[in-house]
Amino acid sequence: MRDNKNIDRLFQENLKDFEVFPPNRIWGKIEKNLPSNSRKNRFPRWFKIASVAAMLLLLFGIGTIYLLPKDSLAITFFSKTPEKELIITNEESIELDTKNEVVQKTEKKNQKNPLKNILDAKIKINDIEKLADNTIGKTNINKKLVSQYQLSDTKNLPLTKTRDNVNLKNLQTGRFTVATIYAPIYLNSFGDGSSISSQFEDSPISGNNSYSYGVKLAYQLSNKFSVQSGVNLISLGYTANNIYIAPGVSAIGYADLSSNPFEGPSSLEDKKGVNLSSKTENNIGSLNQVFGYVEIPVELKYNVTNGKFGVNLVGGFSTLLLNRNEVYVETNSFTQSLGEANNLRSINFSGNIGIDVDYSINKNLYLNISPMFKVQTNTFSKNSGSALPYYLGVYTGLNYNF
Amino acid sequence: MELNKLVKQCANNNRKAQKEIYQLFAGKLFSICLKYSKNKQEAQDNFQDGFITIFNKIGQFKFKGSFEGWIKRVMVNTVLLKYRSRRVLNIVTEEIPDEVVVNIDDDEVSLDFLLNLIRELPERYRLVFNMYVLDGYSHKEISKMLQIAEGTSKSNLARARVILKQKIENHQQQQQSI
Repeated sequence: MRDNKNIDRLFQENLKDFEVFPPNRIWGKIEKNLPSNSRKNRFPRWFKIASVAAMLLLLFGIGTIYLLPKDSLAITFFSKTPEKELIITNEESIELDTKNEVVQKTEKKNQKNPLKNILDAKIKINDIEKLADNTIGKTNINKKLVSQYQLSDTKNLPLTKTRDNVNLKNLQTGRFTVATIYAPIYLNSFGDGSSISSQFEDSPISGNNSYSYGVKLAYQLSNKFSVQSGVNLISLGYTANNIYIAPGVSAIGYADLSSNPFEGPSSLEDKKGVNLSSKTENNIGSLNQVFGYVEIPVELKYNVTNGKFGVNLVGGFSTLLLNRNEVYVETNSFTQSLGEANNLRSINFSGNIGIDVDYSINKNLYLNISPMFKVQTNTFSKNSGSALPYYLGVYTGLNYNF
Repeated sequence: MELNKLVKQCANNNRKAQKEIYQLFAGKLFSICLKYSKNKQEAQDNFQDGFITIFNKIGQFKFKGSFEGWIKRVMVNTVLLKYRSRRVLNIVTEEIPDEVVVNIDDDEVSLDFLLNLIRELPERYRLVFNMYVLDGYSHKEISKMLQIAEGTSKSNLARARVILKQKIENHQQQQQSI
């Protein structure tokens, strides 16, 4: 039988006990999207910081073994930082745990026996202070109470209090910065002479322009100082000009080349054909050397001015690990690989100095441009002429501060 | 209480506890999704997203009020979040009837039929009708959750009722003509 029925009630009554189970497979999908392990994911932030710290430690380790004198500035700075962090965590946790308890305790004690022992007397003084400093916010008072209560035995009060303040200030700004780096490199060399063979010592040498890219990581030590490190890939090239190419002669072996290209199947003739044998100026060519490094810089940055535009001085050194090594001749008409140079050291260093100008986009993000001058040391093991390679790189990057 | 213990374990990402909570509430929450979503596929997607949100936020549950209320609210909010961003063209309402009655025999309609009617409603009408009529939210709450004016919520509800009534009557006519 039909009734007039309120439409709301019709739906409410019919859907009251409506319950449908989802398909079984859905749990699997949900499970996939949940963090995999409770232990692993509990302190992701700690893991990040710890890994960054470990990386810095490693880089400093490498650096100090090879270059730095024992009590250098960087080491003293670095050894201080873990200490600071410890203090922060300790005091913070104590503060959190005991803040409420302490306040309660002190209140209770005051009620029961106001002037019984020294501790209580001190607490009372604190309370008076508390009353006097009405303008200070509640949390500040609590903090003060905590630190005084804790230190009533050791009487070290002023020292830790100031330390606490400093640490809190430091905590507020992000200490780590990551950045992407790209830099055009202008390469040249002090002194003349090719590193390939002393035979070419008189030839004019020019550096090829190149580029470098990588990532940078910086850690702020104090208001003024920060250390930065990272990994860059860099490829460098030198050209020795005005070298006579003598295709007919096959017996010359250059001491510092791994293979002897002129002995092989005479590809020179293939390309040049008949003209090769006749001596023309075509046979003047250049000897090119290209080598690439993985660069691990460790640099100390000193902040000169702050604000929207910041100016910093940067100094440090880089460890360079050889990862590319190639030599070839080039004339107007052909190019021929000569194999590898075997007088390049697989590890060498550069001294770095430069300035760094940064422009902040917002609180955490800033751009920087940093012309750096880097002089390489012990690049070559022997026969390097008087060449002391240096390069000028204009390092640009996008930095993220956290 | 057993449930509170489970909730705490879930907050620590204990997989076993999470599965238990899932099994306890899957039925109720999936039916919410079926009511609020346009079709079954979207209901499943919303249900999945909602449960992930629940487990991510379970640490925020303060053990005040019922856990079931909390978990349902999170689920509803997840669904709303999806549909809220889609703007509905607001039809100017002529008159708002306070009560809509339909002349019907209880055996005439099935649960599935009613559920389909709800799903066929335009997005906003569907959400408002569900929230107000079936889940007991007030117009004030709805206006906050959907970020619309209270008046809009009321007129949406009225329009939804009218549409539902028409559809039921159309259905009755079809049945009679057969």
